[in-house]
Amino acid sequence: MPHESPPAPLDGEAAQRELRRVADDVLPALIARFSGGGLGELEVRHGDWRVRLRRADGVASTVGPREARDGRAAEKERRAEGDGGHADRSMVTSPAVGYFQPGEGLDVGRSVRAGDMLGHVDVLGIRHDVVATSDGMLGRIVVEAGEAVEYGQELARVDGSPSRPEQA
Amino acid sequence: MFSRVLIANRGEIALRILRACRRMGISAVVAYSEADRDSRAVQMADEAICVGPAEARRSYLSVASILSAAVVTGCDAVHPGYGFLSEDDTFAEMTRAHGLTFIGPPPEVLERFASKAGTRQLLGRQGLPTIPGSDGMLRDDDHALAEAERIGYPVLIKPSAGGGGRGMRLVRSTRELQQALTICRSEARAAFGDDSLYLEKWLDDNRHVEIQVIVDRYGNGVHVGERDCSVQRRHQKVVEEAPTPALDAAQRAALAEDAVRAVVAAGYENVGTLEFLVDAKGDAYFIEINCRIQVEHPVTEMLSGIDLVVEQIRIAAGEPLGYSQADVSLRGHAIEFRINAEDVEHDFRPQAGPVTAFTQPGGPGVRMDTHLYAGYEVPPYYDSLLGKLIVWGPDRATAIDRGRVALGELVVDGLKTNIPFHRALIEDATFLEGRFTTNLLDRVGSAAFLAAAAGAES
Repeated sequence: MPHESPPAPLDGEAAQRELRRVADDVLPALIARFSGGGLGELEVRHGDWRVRLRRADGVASTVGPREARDGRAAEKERRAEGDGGHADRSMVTSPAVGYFQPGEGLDVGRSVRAGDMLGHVDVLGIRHDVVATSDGMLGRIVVEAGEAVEYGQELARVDGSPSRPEQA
Repeated sequence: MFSRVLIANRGEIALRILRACRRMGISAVVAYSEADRDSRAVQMADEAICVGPAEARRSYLSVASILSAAVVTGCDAVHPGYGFLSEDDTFAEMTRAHGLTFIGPPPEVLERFASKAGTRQLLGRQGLPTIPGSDGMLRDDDHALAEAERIGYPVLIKPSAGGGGRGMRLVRSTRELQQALTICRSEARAAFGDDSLYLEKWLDDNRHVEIQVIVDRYGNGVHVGERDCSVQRRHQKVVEEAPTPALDAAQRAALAEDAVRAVVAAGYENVGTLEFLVDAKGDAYFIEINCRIQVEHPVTEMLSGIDLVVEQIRIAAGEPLGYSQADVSLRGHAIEFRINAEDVEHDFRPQAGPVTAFTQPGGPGVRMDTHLYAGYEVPPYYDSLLGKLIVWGPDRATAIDRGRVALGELVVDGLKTNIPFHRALIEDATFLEGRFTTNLLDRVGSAAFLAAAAGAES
């Protein structure tokens, strides 16, 4: 993260604005980036403020295994105890709560590139794109067409990602 | 009756709603954000569905995500709890548009009571005394200054859309008003997406007394007495009790009867709360209505035996009230202590992190509504409420004694909480004598209050 030279001290109103900007824009963006990457801790300094994010999964997994209530819960457990839901870039997850519809000709074995549209999740009639997060081959589609999905749920897997040479 | 309810909230209130659904034989689905994956409500739910990331705007405040979750899980109603979408008439309207029932007032009722200034006028016309205030919303700074002169300082600046004390400022002079307007506007815009403000006369040494009402859609309404919420810190309630020590039985009954008569006449529906300020003479002025379940509702449940969440669900489903005022009896005295993750020694700064140990108090007349468990990690994204300790006794003195014992038993380790504040409060002479006013803590300073309590103990 690039460091910038600190700006001049802020007056009350400007400080309010700055705080709002950090809370509304910077923090969500940082959290999104953080959960998308494999980082364990991230600290950003800018002028008067400093934000530090630390992954809590280590703590969460020490809570201990609980009885799985159903398949979906078991899936959640698996992800919660892994290295963080979105850290595994080969996993394509749902961007929203709704009904999943795979794209046309979305067959296992097809090669995909990061950014390719793999389908969409229908949220009350509005389509939210499902996008591949890595290059590779479509390994499997976990969810059937028309099935209800929750936010962050695994939809498909992209295997043999060239960005992960250990699997190549 | 509903067959399946989506609980669109988190923390202790999600559990509270879950329990009410269970009691009624309704299955419940808990909607949660990624940050609440390990919450107790999710663990206990019949089914849980992740609706979005930690950021509330994209999960608990996302109308599309919440409604989509209700649709895909086959729910026929949504309970919004408090905060988040609970008083959002657009959300209630959208809920109905998707063939679901909003558990709360119907959208047109929410809309009628959405503006605080408008509600004051509406209920003023039904005979409730209202606090002197600005004529509608403040158009600009000049209008604000002119209205403040007319009402007379001190005045309270309040956001029209708000709640929970955010965007509110007490000002005592023209200069303070000019400075505060900008801050209040930006706070209101950030918190509620609406920066309209109004002014209200500030009564020094006032008490906050609120009346709980239940009204069905057929115009049958009862009150369930009042709650005194005068122990506040920066306009945030910390302790609530009933009956109020500020009024005698006749005054309490008169206020409650006036309140329920006015809201029924104004077309209110479902469970709601009318908030009043009571001055040193015992005169009450209506300030605002809360069209939802409140954090402090257990106080009223302890006195009346009425399950207010069940009543919300029944009325939203179209059931008639089924009882009258004569059937409502209020017994004894109850006090609620809000247990917050706050560092009392450092300006009550909100805390987050793992709870390493948790021991819940018990015994006769002791109730604890909380989502805590040992090993739970308090996320940093939401409000700091960890739970509520409610004590009941046949009289105030017994309730206080039970409160003292229960606060002594309560253990929350791993992060700082405001339990030390409550332990100090329950030894404080002003509180014991029932003379607390809403500005007392801020006037003496919470730190000074704690220091004085510590000094008195040693």
